[in-house]
Amino acid sequence: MTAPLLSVKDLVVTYGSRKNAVQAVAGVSFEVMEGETLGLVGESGCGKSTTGRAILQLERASSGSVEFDGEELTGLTRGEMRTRRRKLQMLFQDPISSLNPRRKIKNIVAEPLIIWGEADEAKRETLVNEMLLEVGIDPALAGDRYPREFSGGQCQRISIARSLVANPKLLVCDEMVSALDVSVQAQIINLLTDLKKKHNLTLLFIAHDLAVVKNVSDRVAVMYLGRLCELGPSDDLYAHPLHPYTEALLSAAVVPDPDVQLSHTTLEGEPPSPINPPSGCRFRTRCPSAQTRCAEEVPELREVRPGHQVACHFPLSTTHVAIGESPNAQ
Amino acid sequence: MTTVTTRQVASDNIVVVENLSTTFATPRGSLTAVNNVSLTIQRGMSLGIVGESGSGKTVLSRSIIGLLPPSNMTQTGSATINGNQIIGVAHKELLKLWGSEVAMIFQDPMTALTPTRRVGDQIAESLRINLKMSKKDAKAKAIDLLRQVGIPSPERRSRAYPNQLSGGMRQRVMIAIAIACGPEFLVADEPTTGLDVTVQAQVLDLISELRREANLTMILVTHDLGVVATRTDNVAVMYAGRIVEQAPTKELFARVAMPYTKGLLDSTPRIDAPSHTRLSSIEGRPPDLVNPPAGCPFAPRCTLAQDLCHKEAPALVASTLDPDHLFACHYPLNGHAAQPQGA
Repeated sequence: MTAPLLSVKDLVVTYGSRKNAVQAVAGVSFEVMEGETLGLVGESGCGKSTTGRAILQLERASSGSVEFDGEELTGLTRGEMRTRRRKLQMLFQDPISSLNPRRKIKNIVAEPLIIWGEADEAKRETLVNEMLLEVGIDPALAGDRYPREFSGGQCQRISIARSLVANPKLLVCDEMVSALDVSVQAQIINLLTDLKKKHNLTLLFIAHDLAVVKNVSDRVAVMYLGRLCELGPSDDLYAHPLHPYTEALLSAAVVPDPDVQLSHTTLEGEPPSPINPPSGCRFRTRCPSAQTRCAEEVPELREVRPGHQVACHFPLSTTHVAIGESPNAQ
Repeated sequence: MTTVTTRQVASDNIVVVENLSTTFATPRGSLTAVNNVSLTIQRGMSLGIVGESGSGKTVLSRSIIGLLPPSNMTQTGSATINGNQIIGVAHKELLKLWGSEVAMIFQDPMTALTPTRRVGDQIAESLRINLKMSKKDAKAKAIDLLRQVGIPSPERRSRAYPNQLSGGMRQRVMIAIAIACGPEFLVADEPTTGLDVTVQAQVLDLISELRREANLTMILVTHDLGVVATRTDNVAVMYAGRIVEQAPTKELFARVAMPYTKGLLDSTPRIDAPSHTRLSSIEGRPPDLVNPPAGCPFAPRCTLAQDLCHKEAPALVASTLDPDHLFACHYPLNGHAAQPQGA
């Protein structure tokens, strides 16, 4: 974890024409260090998926920069971007629909190799078979079958094999375990953790599930209505949130243990429309500690504790504890 | 408060299910989605039914209120609500119960609501049919109900179409329809799945509050152990169409008996566990219910399974540690043991 592999600066993504323009991402900056997992968490419509897609240039940024491995990506043409995608791969929520239903598993996983010009067919086959074995799919049994013959969890394994077969550096995972049952979800999280170590991967892990994000991430960024509220080391951020929104999110989460009483500060209402966002701090309309300054001045992300940034004029006290480290947590 | 009053009338079971099985005819053969389930729910109590996809939790909850289409389906056993038999009863008889005595909240409020009718009219409809209210009274009551479920400016919202409301609002409308005619028994099937976590907390709080006010009995179907932990009095864990463990909520989480329940708990990432905690996953997949395994349905995935487990399916029995803690396992965890027969 030395140099940033990915740095995103003042990223803005706008949908729609001038009149009905929506800033889905409204000025987001963060870095992902080499070998690190950065979690990006937030509720529906906060812009977390758009951020991930804009990094891969699947959505074009209106302004701002995305620098990957020392190269600016935002100005690249489609053709140029295509060659860079060997190093940047994305995993999606619905693994079944992200696999071509008419192609055999072995051809799906081999496709990146064909695109990147691994011409030797025998070598391709070896690589594909190795990769399938690594994700726990038997190539002898599965290679000639089609995606519909596999369960959601198995399809996600095949998607992982396809994304890793050409040896990428960065994986953007967008809600990749959200549709899976909890026992399968645990299998995929463990698999991803192991593969990350083995292939020295860097991950941007986008999800809405706070517990899943905490589990896989070294650092976590919290997003609300197109902006980052808070970014910090996972354990610190979850134990001592600085932003009132982070605190509200954490207290709304459920724990499978009737004896763990989370502080219960239920947030009223729902996020406002991004078409017409509130002035100043975007969270102020729902914030229990909002003051006049919050309506007038946009809070910038600033470092309050080592490595822990918050975008709030009145961050929560640093001695504040939202969740005690539960003694029976393992 | 509710728990105290219900404990005093312990014999007052509103829901009684005995040896209920639901089997579907599929092109591959018959599939037993609910396999010989018995349970009771006392008035005012809430039962959480937990399980993964295909465990039968939704089919069980719908069987109990008679909401499954009769085609391609056979049912045996019995289910009664307030003494009214549900299994094998004509649709006409069930219509008298639905809405007035029994109500249901579905997972996806967008598809459960009619997209072309104003939400106020949809609430008023059940009031007019079940309570024979006049059009005017029903309209006023619908607005009242919208206010009760926490929808701001209810007069205006009652004229909205479902697509004009957010997911959380739509779920509140569903709840308003469910409680409109004052049912005694509510089935909520994944009521907060698909909602954001802050909205989920709001909706769960609302359901708890309404239950307390009306002493509602509830079945809460969910895949999320975190949701049942603080929102239910009892929990039943389903696997492969059977209840494999059932206990008062606190007891269940404190002393799990069944390896499957433990596996579920251990594979759930926890917000109060340190980052990078290794999850212990359950290997393999649930059995094919068209060709179920001979013994315990969980045995092929169970790390503690022995010969007996593969040969003989364990019955749901009471534990010696707590007679209310039931489990279906030959080798239970945490010092549980089956109470001797007839004890």
